[in-house]
Amino acid sequence: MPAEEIFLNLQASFAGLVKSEAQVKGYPTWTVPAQALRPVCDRLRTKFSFDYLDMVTAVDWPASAGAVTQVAASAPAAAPTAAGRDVFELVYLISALSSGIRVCLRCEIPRKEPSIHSLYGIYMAADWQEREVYDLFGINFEGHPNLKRVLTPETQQGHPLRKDYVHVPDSYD
Amino acid sequence: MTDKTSAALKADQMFINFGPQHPSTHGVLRIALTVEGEVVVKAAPDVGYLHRGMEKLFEARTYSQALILTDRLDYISAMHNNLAYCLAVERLAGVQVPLRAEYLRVLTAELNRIASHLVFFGTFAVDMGAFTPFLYAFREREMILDLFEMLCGGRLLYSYVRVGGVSADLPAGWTEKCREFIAFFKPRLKDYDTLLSTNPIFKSRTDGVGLISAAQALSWGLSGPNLRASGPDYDVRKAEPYCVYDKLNFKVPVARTGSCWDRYYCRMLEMGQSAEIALQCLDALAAPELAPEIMTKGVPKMLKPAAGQAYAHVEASRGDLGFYAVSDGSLSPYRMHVRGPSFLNVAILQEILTGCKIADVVAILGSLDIVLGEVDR
Amino acid sequence: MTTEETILTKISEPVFNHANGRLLMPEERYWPSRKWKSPWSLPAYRSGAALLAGILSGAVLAAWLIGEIPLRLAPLYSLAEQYALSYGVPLFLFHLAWTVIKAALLLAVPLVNALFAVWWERKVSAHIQSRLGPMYVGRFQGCLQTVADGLKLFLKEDIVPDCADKLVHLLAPVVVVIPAILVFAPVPFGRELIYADLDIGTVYVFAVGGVSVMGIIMAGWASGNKFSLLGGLRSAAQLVSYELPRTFAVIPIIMLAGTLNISAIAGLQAGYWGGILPRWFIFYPVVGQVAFIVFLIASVAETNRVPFDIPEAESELVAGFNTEYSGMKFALFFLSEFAYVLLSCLLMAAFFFGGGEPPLPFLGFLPSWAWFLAKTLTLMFCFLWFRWTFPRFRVDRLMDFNWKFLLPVSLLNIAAAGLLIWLIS
Repeated sequence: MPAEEIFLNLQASFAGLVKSEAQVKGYPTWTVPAQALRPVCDRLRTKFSFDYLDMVTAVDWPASAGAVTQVAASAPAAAPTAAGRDVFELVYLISALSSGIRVCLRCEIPRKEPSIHSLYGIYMAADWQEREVYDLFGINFEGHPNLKRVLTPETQQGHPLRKDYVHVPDSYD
Repeated sequence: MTDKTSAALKADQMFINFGPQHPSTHGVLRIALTVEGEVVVKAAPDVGYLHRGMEKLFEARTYSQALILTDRLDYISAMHNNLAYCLAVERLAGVQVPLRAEYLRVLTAELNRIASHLVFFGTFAVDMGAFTPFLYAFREREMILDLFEMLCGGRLLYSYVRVGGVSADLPAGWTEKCREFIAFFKPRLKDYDTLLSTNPIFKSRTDGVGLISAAQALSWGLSGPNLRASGPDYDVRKAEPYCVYDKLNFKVPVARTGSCWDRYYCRMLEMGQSAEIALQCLDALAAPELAPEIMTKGVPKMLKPAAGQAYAHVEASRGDLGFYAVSDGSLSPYRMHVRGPSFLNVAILQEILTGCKIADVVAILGSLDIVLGEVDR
Repeated sequence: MTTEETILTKISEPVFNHANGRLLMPEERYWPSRKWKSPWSLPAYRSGAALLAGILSGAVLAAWLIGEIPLRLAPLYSLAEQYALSYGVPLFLFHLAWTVIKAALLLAVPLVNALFAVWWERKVSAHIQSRLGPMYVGRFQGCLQTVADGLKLFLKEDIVPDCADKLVHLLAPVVVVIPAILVFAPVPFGRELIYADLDIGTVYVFAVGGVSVMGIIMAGWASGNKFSLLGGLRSAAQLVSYELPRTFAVIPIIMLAGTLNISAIAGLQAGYWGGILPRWFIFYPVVGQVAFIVFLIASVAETNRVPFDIPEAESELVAGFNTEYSGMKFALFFLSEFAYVLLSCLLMAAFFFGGGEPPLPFLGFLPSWAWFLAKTLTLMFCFLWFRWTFPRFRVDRLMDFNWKFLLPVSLLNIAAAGLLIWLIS
């Protein structure tokens, strides 16, 4: 079943599921409302045999950007991104290995007290990848049984991949 | 046995810090093991000892500067990291690559795969208590490193694959040396089989140990030989051919049971296939229509892709290595995420280590072939 | 000037364009593919072979010239006895001094053996692994490497962990090494070349050799390290289990020979069947070969060497019971390991290969100690060969192999030996 049909099938039951205006090049990219993420993945897995979670990651789009987004503002806005919307953009890459279809799900959650449903249980690959996102972005994954820092030490202050992260020198600096 | 004594026996658990300083954790991995005698009751892998904040560092460098960071991810097969990064950036910026450079990429990537699997073969044998295969493997790997040194000057961290092509064409005499190596290397695979693969002690240590079912492997997101050893026939080179893999003729070895021996032998067979691919690339490169040219045509030194996102992945030595790049139209990536296969491969340890012996911990860990540079990033 | 332009001006050299690559590799860099085609064309190969042949023939000549050591010593002994009597030294004092000299010589056996065996092991392993091994210390093939290493170990700081049981930690290497020296007392090194010709030599060897297990358990327990403890427990289980098939493997020999005296067992194997096949126990149909194989396997296990080195399993238990030992204490463990390797080889040479008897009648011109040495070194080479070829057993498979295979086989072999004796008589 091609990705288009799967999209129409899902759209019928999940309102708010749309094709993103900013596509990940080469892959169908759909924007999913944060509440619908887990049911959508569940459906994809059980009904359309999307059995493989490639990647979970996040991108920080703060409202008041620093020097980096000033350049972006001067550049022609070729593809619209989530820039300046004050959101975390979560990116999930899910594939059906049997049919070779790979889709990219993205959802936006507010930067204040960011939280989203965990995919733990549907895909075990989400276990450590979500821990990593939690570690580096501070996004809370509801329902994750072991949401602890995975890469940075437990004494780490703040979440390093946030654009507004300020490094606090510790005893090793 | 009375209830009292059995309770006392059950309480007799010992906590062992397996690593981060341990001969066979292949770097600085720590596994917190709870054991009853020799049997593991609970295992919790703990990573992050090598965390260098790569993904943050990408954001502070231009696209060409950031290339050298990718070398340091999976330092055993740096060529694949370069390649995956460059593919992602090329896709982001819409850069075309000359056909000759595509062949060179595949050639070096496959040679690097052989080198990487040789390191696996050697270290896995050391984990199993046989030291000799290690030196055999490094003898052959040394030849590949010599070839790479001739090609790009680096022996471990190559930065050979560049955005838009590769850094240099083949030097004079390189092709002959490469053929000489492959001719020497192919019979060695049989030596390895007689020395280790078919050894009854080795088989009893690995066959039927550390079983990972196909469903488990898929759910935990394993990739590369670890996934294929369990059954699913998924290889990025076949599923989403990049570079010129669709023009090359090769097989992907797949096993069924997902034991340590299957994972080991998948890699051994892959080495033979990689040697075949390298030979095909050498033949193709000798063709007159692929005459040497400037390897990166029309790519500006300061790359400024339009705002957007791109994902590219390659079949690296350890599995599906992906780069997710986000550009906001500036000189450096807005966000660069690395999907390291080892990071996902090591996560499954917490599930499969339970119930096996301490000696099996070493076997399973060795058979997953992780590189901590990629796990911790 | 913006940052962007600054960076651009700084990069003066074009990064991507060095199309004319250079052959960076020097031609003389070693690639085995070039030299493996015809190794005999290499001068180093030919000179090495010549050197080995020279050493071997020199050793043969030296052994022939020296002849049987007890025969050479007998005049010396009587001369010394006469001198002692002429100076009025009581005879018992003279005998005491003679015994002390013999004991000192015996004490030197494990030491000299370790010096040689460690160097030999390193050379053998190196050549198995296509490298050279020690090459510098002592000019010829690094032959003094072990001496240098021993000196280094001697000068090392003796580190005792804080949480170790200090007394037991200190005693453990002593308990390991003393039996390793004592055990050589009834072992012959040639015809009549023996320290104490005990009638129960076989029992003595196994009894005293078994005491070393205690030391290893003590080492594992006292180190205060979990890996050491696991190593100690593993070795306790392993060594005690493998004692059984090892002892049972010798019983057919004892049954056939009718004595427990090791030198007598070796002496009984003199002579030839049909004037060509030596009457060694290994050539007794089925029984001899099975006994030898069981004894060999169990001996490798008893000496904690690959593929049975699970007590020190480097990749699993760091170094097992050795982990917390440094300096001379570590060297003592090493010493005892090689002493037991030598002991096993000597025993095998005496039990199965006719001791000092030459393999063919016309080779009798060499003295018995030379044959004993040659057989022992050949067997020792097998130990080294195993070590650098095989992977390691897993601990439970190791036990299975012992209790479910070796032990029944050795018991059956005893029955077969009884059958053989009945057939012969």
